[in-house]
Amino acid sequence: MDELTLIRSFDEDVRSDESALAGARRALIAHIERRSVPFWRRRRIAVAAIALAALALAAAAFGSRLIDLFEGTPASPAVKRELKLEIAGLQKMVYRGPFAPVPGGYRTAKTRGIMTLRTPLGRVYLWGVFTKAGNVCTAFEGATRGKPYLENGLCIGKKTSQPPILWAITPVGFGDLSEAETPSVSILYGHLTRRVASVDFRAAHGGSKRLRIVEGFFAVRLPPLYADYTLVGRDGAGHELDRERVHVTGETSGPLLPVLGRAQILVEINSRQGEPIALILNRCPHGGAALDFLAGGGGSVSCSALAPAFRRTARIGVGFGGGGSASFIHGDAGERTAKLEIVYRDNTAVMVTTPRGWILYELPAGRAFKDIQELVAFDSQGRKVSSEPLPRNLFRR
Amino acid sequence: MADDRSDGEAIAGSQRDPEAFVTVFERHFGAVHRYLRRRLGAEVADELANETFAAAFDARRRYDGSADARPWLYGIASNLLRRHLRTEERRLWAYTRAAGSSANAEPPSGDALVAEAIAALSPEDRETLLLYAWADLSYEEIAQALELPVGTVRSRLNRARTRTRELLAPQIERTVLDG
Repeated sequence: MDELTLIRSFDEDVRSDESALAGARRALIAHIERRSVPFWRRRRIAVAAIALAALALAAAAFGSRLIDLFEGTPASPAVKRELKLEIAGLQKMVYRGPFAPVPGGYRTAKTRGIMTLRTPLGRVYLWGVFTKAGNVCTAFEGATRGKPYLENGLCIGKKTSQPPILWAITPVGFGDLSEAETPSVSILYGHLTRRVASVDFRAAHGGSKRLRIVEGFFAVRLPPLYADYTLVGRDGAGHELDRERVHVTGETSGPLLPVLGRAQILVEINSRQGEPIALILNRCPHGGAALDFLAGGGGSVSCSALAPAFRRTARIGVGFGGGGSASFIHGDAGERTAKLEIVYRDNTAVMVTTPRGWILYELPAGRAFKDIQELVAFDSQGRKVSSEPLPRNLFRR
Repeated sequence: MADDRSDGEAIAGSQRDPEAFVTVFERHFGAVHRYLRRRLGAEVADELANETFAAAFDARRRYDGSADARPWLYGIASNLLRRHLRTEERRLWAYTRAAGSSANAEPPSGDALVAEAIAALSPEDRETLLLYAWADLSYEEIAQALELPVGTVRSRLNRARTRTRELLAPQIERTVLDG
């Protein structure tokens, strides 16, 4: 032990968090754009935007549907910027085959609309980012005012080896994402191989709908009453090429069932209101895994070909969520963690057992996330494994 | 494909294609940000790390083409950091005070002693020592970052280590005894 070792150990747990990285990337790309786009080109973009708006107004006057106009529409600078950030930030994963996402190029050539969907909460836009490397990455946007919020979708590359129907489910949020309960819709979407000429979406209780295919992509909103669905892909002669079953749990389905039928329930508890709540590990259809939290029999699936697969470490990686008056801490307390201490700002604390390092804990009545000062993980011998101080503004509403 | 260009190549490429600079950012932002965060705390570090990469982008034409951009980036960060020396000192003394105000009779924690030792150094010596200890730069890389002769780096580092060794002697002894 010498002075250098002591100095190196000082504050060594400090790390660069994802939010700082995302914010900095956003700032840098904005800076690059400001420095790189000459003034005359900026003016040309503004003129193009005005022309596009005029075209949309004219089309509306003649009764055309906006959906037709959206296809191929260049993305706004704000959307482009967000997409660039997202795609650069999420490790540039391009789906190449089962369980084999690989890094891909993310420098964009074009960003344009693929299709829109009408939902009870508003329009959902499916954007396509066509990269210089020949990949196309998708992202969904809920039509909200102000800054666009994008949910990453599949990335398909020139070398992608996929089944005839490659599908995934994604939640698309509407509203202010700083709010704990952002309303969202679930979208089932995917990509088809060239041989697939049509794809039908069928509900188990009957009813079928032929889905529109644009640039190999399809998308449909999942009804709130979840059930089993089937996607059937056919070639031009009507021969069936692929049949994919999609299982989704719903509020009316009673006991918790694994979303997508491939999930493992890690922890299951009953909330104070008697609702079953679960922490599940999804095996994603396009490879990797995602940790999700289900409440009231429903929930979201955060599988995304772009998102890095969930991996366990010794560190605390928990989420905060809930509904109504219930607030839950859920997620990974660290693979070596046996107990997690929740330290409140009033210097009181509670110790929560974390089976196999997983945590699913409902805060007592009267406690809110913003009251938490720090999470401290201990192993089975009572030794401190790690800690996570929580900034007050993380939970600011 | 993963970008296997060196930093120098990526920076040269960013002259034609400015977005290529993002590669340099992706490689080094985490380390530079972590270094600044250890020195200044999260709030200032976020701002300063952003400024570092924006300044680096603006100055990329003057980059010397070295394969590893870390010394250059830490050099920019160090220049920007000089505006915040008082913040750093306040932060270090806050550690010391927190330990000193403890009501129990226990000796100050290791972190408090280290903070005190770092705070006691001159800004130049502190900068050299922390680039070595926290940013993992070699003598030559520190010299490049701070635009100093290697000999100056060597003497600053020697002075800083001697001073901190004296100040941390009780902690070193305690650690050895606790074994």
